Amino acid sequence: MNNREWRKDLEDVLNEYVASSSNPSKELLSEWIRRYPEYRQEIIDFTASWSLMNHLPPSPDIQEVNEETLVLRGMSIVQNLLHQQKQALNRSNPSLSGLLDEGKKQGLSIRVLAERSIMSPALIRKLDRRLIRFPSIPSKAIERIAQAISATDSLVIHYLQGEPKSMAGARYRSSERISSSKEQEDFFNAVREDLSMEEEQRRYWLALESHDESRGNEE
Amino acid sequence: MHIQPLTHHNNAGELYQRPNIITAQIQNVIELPPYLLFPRARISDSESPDFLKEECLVYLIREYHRRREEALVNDLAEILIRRSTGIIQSKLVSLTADAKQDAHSDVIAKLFDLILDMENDRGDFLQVRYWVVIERLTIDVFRRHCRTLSQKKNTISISPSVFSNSHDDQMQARNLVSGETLADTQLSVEELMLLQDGLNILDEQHKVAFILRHYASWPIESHDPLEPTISQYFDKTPRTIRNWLTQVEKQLERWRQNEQP
Repeated sequence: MNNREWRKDLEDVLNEYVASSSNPSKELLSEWIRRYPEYRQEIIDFTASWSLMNHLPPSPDIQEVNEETLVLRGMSIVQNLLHQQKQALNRSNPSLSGLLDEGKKQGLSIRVLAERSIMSPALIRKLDRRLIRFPSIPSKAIERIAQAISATDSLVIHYLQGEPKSMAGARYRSSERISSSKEQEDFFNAVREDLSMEEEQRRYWLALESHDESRGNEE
Repeated sequence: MHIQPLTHHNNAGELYQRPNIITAQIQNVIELPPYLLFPRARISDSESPDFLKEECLVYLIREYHRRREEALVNDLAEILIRRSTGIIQSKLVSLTADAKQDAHSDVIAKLFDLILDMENDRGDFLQVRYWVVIERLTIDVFRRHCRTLSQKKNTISISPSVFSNSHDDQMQARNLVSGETLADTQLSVEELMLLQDGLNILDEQHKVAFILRHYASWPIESHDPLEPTISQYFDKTPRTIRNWLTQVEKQLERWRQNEQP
């Protein structure tokens, strides 16, 4: 077992230990040491700290800690974590070049890719060109496409959030972005107006509309 | 919508299971648009039928993070931090104001490191028993802060690893209280409650020894080599520990007499 796994297992043991009682007792400590002798020292140290935390008197320090300050500090920590993750993802995870490209790499024709995603080829093409407004796309559609092209949901999400692509595959220039975003369609409208889509597929997607439509309108 | 399953197993090899109420709450709200979800998530009255438990909020944060909807992640994270702050603070009352703020930040950092780690399922237990994990993380952070504060004050750390047996024991031996006064007394619950406020006058190691003996009921020594003892914890002879405890009781007795009107 490497150090990371050892640490992870210890965290599980300590979680279960804390879950077993609201207060550490001598008997509980002995029982857990018997159960997990490999973590004996860690359990003893942890129990001592647990007892101290429960029984030490309040600090005589009269300065009060402002709760709003703590929340703001906490939020700043969360934002830092999100930022770090985004940077790491950009470094290590090349984005998808396109849904059709990705399918092609795996020998999937647009027809097969569409079938596996319960969509029509026309709708897949629109999604590939990012002509569908991202907030209106139901999670189920993202999951189906990701499964079809064997990618993670987050890669597909990242791709679909990008700028719309022109027919030739080139992205719109920045001066065209405002008008291009207006040209983006709502997912459910695209389903409704897609004459090539099979009725069964249409019913499948429109059944999800009631919730997702309002989510899209909100944004 | 399909709910992402938990995948983490405990040490007994059993898959963690969300309580049914958490699964039901997730199912009820996962498809809600933000303008309906947020008023529900902001309900802080746990008695309200619309109250969302913290385990459910953890799932939602992970789900929106998976979908890269950062604004929703931020909003839900703020709600979770607000709910947790009071509880975390109540456990850190013995720390000074500065240390308390730092410790709170450390707990939040560890918490969200677990929640936002999408490559790993080590935070799954947060969707099973959220407050248990908060307690465990707070104890971990508390331990580190006590250690750091002790080192800053250049006093002896509460960590047993820093005690060296021989030298300190020799020093203690010179100051030993006579043998007949080293009785291992048991204090009543009432006495312990009265004495609790006085513990601040004690130095770190004496305070720890007293709490382990009288509040956590650890034995000073034991014939069972597997049983944890205060003597082992500090790597000191049982006689040294008895001497400490006797000194502490005398200090506390003096404190109590001075406190009485």
